[in-house]
Amino acid sequence: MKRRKKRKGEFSVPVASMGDIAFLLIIFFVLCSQFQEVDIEPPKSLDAVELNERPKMAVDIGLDGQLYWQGRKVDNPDAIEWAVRGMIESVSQKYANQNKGQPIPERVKVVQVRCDASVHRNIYEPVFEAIARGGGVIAAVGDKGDPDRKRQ
Amino acid sequence: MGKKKLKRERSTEIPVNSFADIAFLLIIFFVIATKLVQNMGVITEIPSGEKSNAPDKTAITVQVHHDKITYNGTSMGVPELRKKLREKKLHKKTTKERVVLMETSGNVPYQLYFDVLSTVSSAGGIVAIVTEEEKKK
Repeated sequence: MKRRKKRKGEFSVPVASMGDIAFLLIIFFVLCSQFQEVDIEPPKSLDAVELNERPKMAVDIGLDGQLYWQGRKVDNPDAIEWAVRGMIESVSQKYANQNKGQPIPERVKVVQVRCDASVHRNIYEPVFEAIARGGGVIAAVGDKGDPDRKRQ
Repeated sequence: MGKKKLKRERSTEIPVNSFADIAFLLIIFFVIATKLVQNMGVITEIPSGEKSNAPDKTAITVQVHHDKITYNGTSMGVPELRKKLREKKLHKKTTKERVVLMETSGNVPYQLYFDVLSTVSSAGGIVAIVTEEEKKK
């Protein structure tokens, strides 16, 4: 049996696969990233709690009062009402087919609402009402903190 | 007597030596640019409110007019409202008793609306928005 001789003083780090690992990491980051299309400064409250799950339905209200449903511009709250209604119905049907006789979980109905802190009532309130009419449960997104403290 | 230039043979291989460096630079960009967001906020069940149902007169009423909050007729700030609602121990009450009517009028900024909404929800209340039509009844 022949023995391989190790040369003294030679150390080499295997770098051949570094590029592959790096590209795999990039792919991971790209797929996991969620890009924010609407620039919103969320409101603050001391009573804000952690929202465990990211809801499947999302409504954004921009600084200019523009409404967005799942990141796409919509003209009025009625469009949001019908979108919420339609989404809940389709998910409910799927759920009913899969789990016979079991009630639909509330988390299916949750609609995430992101609204800029400075938007006025005549814009956000009709949206809230529309979501409620459509059967959605509102998850209003905001930061935890004292609203009287100025943002840094 | 002209000197002839020697033509070097061109390599047809794609240079891949710098790929790893580029990839790591991209990773660094993504790591720095990514903001890990933990969504905070408030989940509130706003009843869909069939318009035939008139608001319950015995329910707790929170009125928000411009930047003023009124609780059952008394003007107060958000900390006082929080204290009053927690004293009510709404968590232990029935669904009907947990309903808090929220009347808004004027230009209420979303900051204040969200603050009141969070306060009511964290105290165990179910927010019912009183619409303009219901106010006129």
